[in-house]
Amino acid sequence: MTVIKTPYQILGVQPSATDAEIKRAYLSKVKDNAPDSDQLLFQSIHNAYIAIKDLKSRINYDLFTVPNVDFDELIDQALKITPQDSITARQFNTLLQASVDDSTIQKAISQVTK
Amino acid sequence: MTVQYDIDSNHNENSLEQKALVELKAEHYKEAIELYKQLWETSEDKKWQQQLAYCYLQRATSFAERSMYREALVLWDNYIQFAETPEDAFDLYICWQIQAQDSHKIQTALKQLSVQQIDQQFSELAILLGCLILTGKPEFQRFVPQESIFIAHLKLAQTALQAYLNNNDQQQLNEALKQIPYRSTFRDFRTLLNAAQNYPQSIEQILSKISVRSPYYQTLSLLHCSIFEGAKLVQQLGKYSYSQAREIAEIKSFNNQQQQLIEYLVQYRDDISDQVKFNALIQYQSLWPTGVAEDICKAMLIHYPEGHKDFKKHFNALSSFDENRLKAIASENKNNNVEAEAYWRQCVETLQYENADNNLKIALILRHMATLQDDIELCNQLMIESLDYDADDLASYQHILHYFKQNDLDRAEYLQWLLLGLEHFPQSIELLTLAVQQEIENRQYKKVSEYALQIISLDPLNRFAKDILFSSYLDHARKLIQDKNYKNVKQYINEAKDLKLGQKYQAQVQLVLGLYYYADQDKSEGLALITESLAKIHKDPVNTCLQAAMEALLTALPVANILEGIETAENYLLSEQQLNQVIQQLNFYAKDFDHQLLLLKALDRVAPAITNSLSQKNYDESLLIELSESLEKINAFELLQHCAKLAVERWNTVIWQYYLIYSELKGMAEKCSSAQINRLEKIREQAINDKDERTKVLIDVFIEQYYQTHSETSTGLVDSLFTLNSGDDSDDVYVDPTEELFKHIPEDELLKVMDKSDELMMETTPEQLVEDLTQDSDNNEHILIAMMQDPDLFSALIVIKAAIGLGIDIKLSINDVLGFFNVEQVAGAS
Repeated sequence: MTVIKTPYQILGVQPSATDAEIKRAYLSKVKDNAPDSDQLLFQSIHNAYIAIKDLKSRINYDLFTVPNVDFDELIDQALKITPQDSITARQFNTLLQASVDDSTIQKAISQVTK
Repeated sequence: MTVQYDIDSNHNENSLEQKALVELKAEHYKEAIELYKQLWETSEDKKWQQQLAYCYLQRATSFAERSMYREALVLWDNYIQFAETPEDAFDLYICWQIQAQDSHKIQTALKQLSVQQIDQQFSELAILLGCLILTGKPEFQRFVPQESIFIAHLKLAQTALQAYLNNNDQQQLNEALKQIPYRSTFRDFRTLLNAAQNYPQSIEQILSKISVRSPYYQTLSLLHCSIFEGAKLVQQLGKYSYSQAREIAEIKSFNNQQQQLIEYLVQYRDDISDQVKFNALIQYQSLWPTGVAEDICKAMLIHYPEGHKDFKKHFNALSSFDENRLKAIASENKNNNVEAEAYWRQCVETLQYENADNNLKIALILRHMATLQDDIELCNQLMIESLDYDADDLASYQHILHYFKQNDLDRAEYLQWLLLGLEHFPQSIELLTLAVQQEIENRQYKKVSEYALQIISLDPLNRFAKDILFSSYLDHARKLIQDKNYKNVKQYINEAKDLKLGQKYQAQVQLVLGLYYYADQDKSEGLALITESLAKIHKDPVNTCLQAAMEALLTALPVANILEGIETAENYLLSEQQLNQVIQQLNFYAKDFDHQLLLLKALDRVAPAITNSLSQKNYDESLLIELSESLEKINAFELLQHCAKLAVERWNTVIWQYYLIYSELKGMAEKCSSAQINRLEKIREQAINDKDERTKVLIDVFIEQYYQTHSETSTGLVDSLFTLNSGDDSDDVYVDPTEELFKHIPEDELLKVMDKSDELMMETTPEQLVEDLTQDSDNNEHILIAMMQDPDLFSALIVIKAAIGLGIDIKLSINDVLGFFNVEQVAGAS
């Protein structure tokens, strides 16, 4: 996952790519992501192409577009790890041990009082 | 805990007891204890003892609820002195001891627990004890009655946990868990351990199975939290203690930098400000691909300018261009376009001084600046400036051309831009279309055809170009017939035919062919073709007659002869649709300014039918407005006046009052009397009130034309005179009395007299006028007074003086005029 989804990254081309290379990449992306499969993705591919399709568009993009960053996405990327599909017994025990603190006992005592 | 005291049973008239009861009910246990102590000292009644025990226990509990366990335990000692069965609340005591962490006293207390208490009476305490033994207080186990069910189940739970920890021995684990009954103290532990086997899927499922009040719920909650990732995980971690959050981070195998980022974000979880984000990006930039943190920080500077210093410290310093660019974008975000424009201008200046080809960048910035500009003139200047740096931008040419056209500016300059645009974009249909329109306005029909042909070569189906060419070919054919130069007529007719625009167009072709035959070939065949084609185009004699007459006039053929074979239109009443067709014909032929006089002549042929139709049919007002607009365009004043007179009786719309005055004056503002100007001013006000902007503009233009021909000084007096008479607020249509008075004068003579009148009006005072006309300075005061009362008298007398000056006999004397205005006549008047 890339945080700043620049049009170049969306189309998978280098910023130095030629008009022809960009068009090729766009057509290939469109072929793999038809609008009926994922409308939003298709739209983002199309918008990316419009933004950088020729030199004028690219300069326009560089001059007037600032990355629209979702900080949560940034954090997602920074904390990216291999997803866990299980928990070890030791990890479970660590959490079990860590879970009982004053507040746990207090909560339990309030039950006793009732 | 099952202790229960009856606080009402000992209620009597004793005031001390009453006070104690009041304090007790108000949960003021300290005060209640003091009062009951007094009562107990007075008489060692059992009921005071019970109340004292109750109050001590309640007070101890309230301390414990505030985590003041040591205080609670002191009060417990008081409680047991009075309680008959203190063991009933023994679970509370153990809990408080656990929290007070006095191991010796905990052990002593646990040792006092009976099997019945741990297994039956104190179930909540048993759950807590079980959880504590499993999670870090195993020493408690040996003080609890070993023969209890609690211990038996605890051992099963421990076996299961051990099996899980010892290489996940599933068989032993399951066997142990199976033996823990449903109602066991370790039920929640069993559920938790089962779910851990199937992590993470099962965690969500058991969230509702373990009560939030269970001591095991926190473990479940931590397990659930560990399922989250990224920003959501950080959000969840904010709910837990620092050590718990750290355990989760460790379980998830985050590296050191990641753990530090989590800790940093958890620390500021309540206010993740731009500063926090900015600092996080700088401090932990290694967690993102190279350059990402720098790019994002740079973007963030737009709304977090305080970060400039740190940015310079950690990344490459911003160039002057970038600094201004970011400031410009920041200003735009604040909707401060003026400030943004200033920064963009600095960007342009920076780029101009760089030794690089920045022309395109400059052009794009200038165009961007134009989008921020409210002033359309400045906006246009920026677009023009941008073309100095990048001349190949169709949108800029379109913008500039639109600006010139919309604002009705210098046509030569417009044409210059159009040609420049076409030079760069010769294949732009939009520019070619504008060129066609421009050349039509310039009446350069050859060029019109050339541009139209270019459009068709690019877009063979372009209807606009085809229509233009069609009209052009037929116009050529007509012109050749008119010039009796018949050689190429058929060629043009065929060119028009070959455009294949549809049946109605073919009928037009046939009509011109008929005219050609009539002019150069066989007259009867020509007439037949004309009649046949017109029958295809129109279903009524009025439209047929109008077009036949117009086509005959355009080709210089005898109108009467052409109309011979056509049904007479005089008594025909037009339907709304047919009247609409008349309007369309008028508009079509009026497009060419040269045709207007011919159109008036052709219109004369059908004017009686139109007049009749207008008088007898109740057409919709909007249709009549459309008709009036067409009539106004071609100066068909008589028909317009007729239409306006009828309309003004039916509708109170100001446009009709305007058209009435306009048509009466035959569109000549300079002929407007001051009374008419006053009237126009009034209806202008009404148009403003009615929000009728179009009529207001028409009146404004007309009044402006009037004032252009009348200097303020000359009209000042007359206007002031009329102002005195402006009390007439009648909405009736104003009829100029001078028009009535002088209507018998031939038009050519009247025009001369009116011109002279205008001159005199500027140089003659009322006194002078009366003196000149009456040659009796002593006896003209009543005329001056009459003029004050009716300014039209002044206008009428000026006309008399003008006629005398020009030597034109208008067959009216000054006394005729005075008589007309009911003013006493004068002796010796000329």
